[in-house]
Parts: sequence; C-alpha cells; structure tokens
Amino acid sequence: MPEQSMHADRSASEEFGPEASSGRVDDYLAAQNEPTAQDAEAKAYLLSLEKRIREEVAHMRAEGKYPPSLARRVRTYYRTLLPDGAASGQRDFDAIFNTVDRIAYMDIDVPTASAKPGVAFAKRALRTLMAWYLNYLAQQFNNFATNLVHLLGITDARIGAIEARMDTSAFRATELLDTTASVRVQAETSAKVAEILSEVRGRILVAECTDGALLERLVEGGLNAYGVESRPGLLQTAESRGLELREAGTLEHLASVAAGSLSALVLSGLVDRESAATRVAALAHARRVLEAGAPLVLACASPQAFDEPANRVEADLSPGRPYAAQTWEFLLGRLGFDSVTIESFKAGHYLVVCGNARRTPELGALADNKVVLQALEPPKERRR
Amino acid sequence: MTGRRGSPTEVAILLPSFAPFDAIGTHVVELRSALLEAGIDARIYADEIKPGLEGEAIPSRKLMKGRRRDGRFILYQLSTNSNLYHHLLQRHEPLLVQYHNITPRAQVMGFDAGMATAVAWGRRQLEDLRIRTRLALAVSHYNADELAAAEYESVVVAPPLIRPLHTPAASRDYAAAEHRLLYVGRLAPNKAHEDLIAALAVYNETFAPRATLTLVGSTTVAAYGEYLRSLAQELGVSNAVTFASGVSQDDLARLYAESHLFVSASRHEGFGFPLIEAMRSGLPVVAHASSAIPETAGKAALLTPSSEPETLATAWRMILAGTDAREALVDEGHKRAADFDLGRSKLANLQALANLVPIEGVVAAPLYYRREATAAPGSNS
Repeated sequence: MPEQSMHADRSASEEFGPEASSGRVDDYLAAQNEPTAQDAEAKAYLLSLEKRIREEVAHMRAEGKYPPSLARRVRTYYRTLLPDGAASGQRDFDAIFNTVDRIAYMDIDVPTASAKPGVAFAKRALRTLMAWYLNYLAQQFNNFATNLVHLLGITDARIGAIEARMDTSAFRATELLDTTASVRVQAETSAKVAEILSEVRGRILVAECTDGALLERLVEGGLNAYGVESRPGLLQTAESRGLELREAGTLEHLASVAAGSLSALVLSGLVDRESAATRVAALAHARRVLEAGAPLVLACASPQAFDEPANRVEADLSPGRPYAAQTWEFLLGRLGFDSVTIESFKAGHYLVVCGNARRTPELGALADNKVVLQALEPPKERRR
Repeated sequence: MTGRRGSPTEVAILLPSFAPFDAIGTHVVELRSALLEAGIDARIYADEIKPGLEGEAIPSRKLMKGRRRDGRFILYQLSTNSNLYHHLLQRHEPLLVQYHNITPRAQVMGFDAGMATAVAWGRRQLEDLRIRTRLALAVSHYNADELAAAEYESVVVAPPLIRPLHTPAASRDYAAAEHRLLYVGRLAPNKAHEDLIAALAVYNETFAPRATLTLVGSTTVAAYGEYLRSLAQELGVSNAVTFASGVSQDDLARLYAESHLFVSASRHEGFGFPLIEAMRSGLPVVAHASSAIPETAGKAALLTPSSEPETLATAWRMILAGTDAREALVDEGHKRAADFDLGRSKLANLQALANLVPIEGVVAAPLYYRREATAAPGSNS
C-alpha cells in the first residue's frame, strides 16, 4: 500500500527520466528491442524486492519501530533546513523573485579590460561603435523584463490574497482541542466494533484513531489494524501504546491508499464535524480503498450528543454538525454501499455498518462534486 | 603516450575536462589504450587538462585549429555543456558522440541556478549535436533511450571502462560494534545525500549496532553541502557522518574494503560506476531503484522502491543483519562486476565504434536504435 510520501513536495522532480520520446521512437524501440526472458526476469526480481521491502517496512511499523514522531522530526528538518529557493514555499518564491528582480536587466556597459596589449583598446572601440545597436536591443529587453517582473509581483500579491483567504477557511479550530467527541464515541463503541470486525483477516484502518484505545483493542484481538491521527497530543498517547500509526489527516491519508487494499475501515471524528463535501469525499475514497464487500464502520455522535456540555466547544468550532443516522443511510445508499445497519449506544453515540457493494453508485446530486468523481474513477495507467 | 603514428585511421577522443580519477577521465584513457591495441591512432584532446595530466592529453585548440585530416574521426565525450560544441559543429570529420548523461536542470535548480543553466545548455547541445553526429554511443540503455528520444541517427550501447582499484583484502566483521556505510558520488542535489543522512538517523534510532556513513565526493554545489551538514547536525548524526573529498585511489580502495555496505539514494545516474567498484570489492549494495541504477546493478543489489528514510533503513537492516541475503548479494555482485570486466568492456566499445570506424578484425555491435529515413516533402515514397 503506497504511503504518503515524505517528499510529496518533490513529486515532480522524482520523475526525471529520459526526455519524453516521440511515439515513433517508442514504437521503434518496442519493435526492435522486444523484452527478452532476461528482461522479464529482471522485472520480476525488482517487483519481488519491492514487495519484500514494503512488507518489512509494514512489519516494522506494526511493531511500533518507526513511530510517527520520528518521521515528523526528520521531515521537519528536511524542509526547514533547505536553503531559500530550493523548495516551493513563500520564502522560496520571495528569494527567487528577488534574484529575478535583480538580474532582469541587460547591461550594455561591456567590460573591456584585457592583459593583452591593444586588446582593451580594440574592445573599447568595438563597444563605442556598437553602442547604438546594443542600446537599442537592451532598451527593448529591459522594458520587457521590467514589465514581466512587475507582472510577477502582481500575480504573487493576488495569489497571496487567495491563499490568505483559503488558509482562514482551512483553519481547523478543532485541532486546538485536547479531546473530542470521537474519543468518547470510540470508547463507548469499541467492544461492538471489535466484535463486528473480529472475522476480518486483512488490513484494517481506524481514522481518526484518537488516543488509540479502539485500535489497541482491535490489535489485541489479533487483527491487522493501523491508525491515522493528526493531533500531536492524541498521537503521542496512541504512540505510547506501541501501535502502528501514521501522522496525517483522514482524507489526506485515504487519498494515498491503494485501491482495494483495505479489508475494513472505521471512520470517526470527520463524520461528526467536517463539512458535507469532506464527508462525501471520505465515503467516495472508502468505496475505492475497500475490497468488494468489505465493511465500513462509521462511529458517530448524534446531533443531540453535540449539544451535551462536554461537546459544546467542539460543536461551536466545527465547520459541520453531526448527522442523524437516516442521513448516513441516504448518503451510503447513493454512493453504492449496501446492507446498512445502525446500532445506537448511550450518550447519543451510534454505529453505522455497511458493505462496499461495488455496484454502480447513483451519484445524482453528487455528480458535480469533482472530488467524489475523481475518487471513484479507476486509476489511470501511466504511459511508459 | 600520444598514439600510433602512421595508421590511416585516427580517433580523436575529445572531452571538455580531463581530470585524474574522474570516471570519464579514466574511461578515455582506457579507450585510447583499447584503440591503440587495435591498431588505431588514438589521441585524447581536452579543453581543460588538470595538473599532472599534461603528458596524457593534447589541448583541444590544437585539434580545432588544425586542418581536417582524412581518416580522422572525432569521438566527443558528452557529459556537460562546453564551448567545444561550437567548434564541433564546424568540423568536417565524421563525428561520434559518447553520452554519459547530463543531469536534468530541475534537479539542481533550487540549489544552484548557475549550474542549472549550465546543464540545461548541455542538454540543448545534446539535441543540437545530433545533426552532425554519425554514430552515438551510450554507456547504458537508459542513456540510449535519451539519445533515441533526441532523434540521433544511430545509437549503440557500450559500457564505460572502469579500471579496477587495487583493493586490499577485505576484513568485514558484521558482528562488529558499529557498521560502516559508504557512498561515493559528488555532493550534488541529484545524488540525494540528504536521504542517506535521514535514513541514517532513523536507522540509528531504531537498530543496534549503530552505523556510520562516509560520503566520498567533492562538493560541486556549496549550498547543498551546507544543507547536508546542517541536516546531519540537527538530526543528531553529525558524529556518524564523514564527508571526504579529494580521496586518493588507494584510500578509496581501502574504504571499499573496510566498509560493510554500499548505499545509494541517487535520483539520477546515467550509469553509476561506484556500484560496480563496490561489487568488485565484495561490498553488498543497497540502492534506490532510480534512472539507470536497476540496469547497472542487475540482480546484484537490493533495490528500494523509494528513498524514504524508513524504506532505506529497513533495506540496510535486511542486508546488515541477514547473513544469507548478504552473501547472496555479494556473490551476485562479483558476477555482475565480471560483466564490466575491463577487457570485455574495451572489446564492447571497439565493437560499438566499428559501426563507423574501420577497425580490423572487430565485428560491429548491433545498433540499439536507427532513425528511419524521413521521406522528403513531395517525394513519391
């Protein structure tokens, strides 16, 4: 299962290979140099190595040997120590912009010094003779460069304004909370979730996994489960339980998981407080990453639970509100899940359990949601 | 040694910079020797000749200012941009290009804009030289694909000539209190030293015994060197990382002999000759499967699908702690290194050249690519 890359910001630079050759060259090479048995053997060998290493990394993670805090530390220094201009952040943009601003000027005052006798004189004469011509060229270039730099500056300011607005809307106030309703929902429903998933033999993801209590219960039951959590405090608690963890947001992690690679998925937190678009996108990803027929479990708080004093701060800070069970039933049906069952618990908590039916979803009103459509599309084959 | 006089055929081996112990420097010296042994008058011409090598090469201006000589072929070693390019376009002798690859601009852009411009110019020269080039030699199929993509007329593959080091008897104790990792390659961003340093930090936090990492290579991008040192410092492995430049051939041989594992995270290699040197020394190799590395390493290296720290650390551990896997890798390494035996490689280069240069008794190697003739506009064909 491909994990989210530490070098995500480098993804473009990872793809350097031969310059894209023309289709004609590709066809010729394919015809003239047909893969030999040796080529096939080498390819199989590479694939077997890749599988062995991935399995070993997964095994190490499952044993808690590569804790997220270590990865976070390495990743932080990777980025913060890079010289300005080497990455793609605002500081890098500013550094390169300043350089461009400084050098976007053609100097016609050509150096004429020379150690050889007479050469300096000849150079000066040439410079004088060509000054009218060079000046004409330089004026055109410098006018163009000045306007181009100005245009870049305006573009930066306008993009900056959009980013500032996006940053404001993307700010997750709930990240400030030490605990959320999902911690309590998981504690309340963990026995039932463990019972529902007890027969699952493949990979299980719990996202968000909060303090790891539910995840620990699944692992103690002999299940192959790992968790995703983005809040450092909760992650640290989960890490202390020796669990296999990833530090990431739920949607961000789901986007990096290979299609059909999970045998069960437990979603919580996001299902209570995110916007409708985010929740639907998460369900669409769940359709893609789950095996056919695999169970999806939503561990939810009810709208009434969010009105309880313990959850009031979270309720106020959240972009969305919990759904009634019927709403989930409606959405899951539209997105192609089946066998939806609902079980209620005290304190207004409930579980929604369904299967990934793999039938064509009736997208209907969701059809204009690009995130959903992209998540449901089969991955495209990359051209050689 | 300046060549065999009186031969009707001469190969002028031309390169921008001729340096001692440099991969291309070594290659051209051995290639000249192979041509001389085959009865061809061969000489090395260079734009820049490093001190100590004055007797080995002739300044390129003597070739460029001289008259055309019948029977002379120019074999240009292309690995960077050079002003020689302008002269080459004006020469009338049949031109051959031997391509060692040029780092793509985007891989160095963030650290050194000047170098990025230079390599971009080099790639442009690669494209333009095809007009004059009759035969292009590539040191790997990876490079041959780039030549074919640039629409060179005829492309043939021949390996680089890698001279054996005088490696002392290896004394590797894998039960030692510390494992020594080695990487050889100049300090340039495309070599991804930072991935090795990050993986070392993860390795030393996770496994015992701890490891040290020796990075052999000159600093070509100063900002990158500073970044690597800061990274090692902040990740708490500065005492475990050694930067070594200007290493003599004897010292390099000793490092190969004394290390426990050769590691590479490089993102771009046209061939990767240190991998072969490591294999010759019986050193197991773990490398990121990028660019030409899978082709060069064959089955003789543990190739990793990514260069993320956990992946590299895990792969290192698999070899350092797994006796069977390690021994199998070392055995395969000796076999793979034999594929690049100097004698065999010299013959392969002569066979490749024989597609254009008449070399008595040498059968031309099959071409990897030949551009199809394009019908002239308005013709009936």
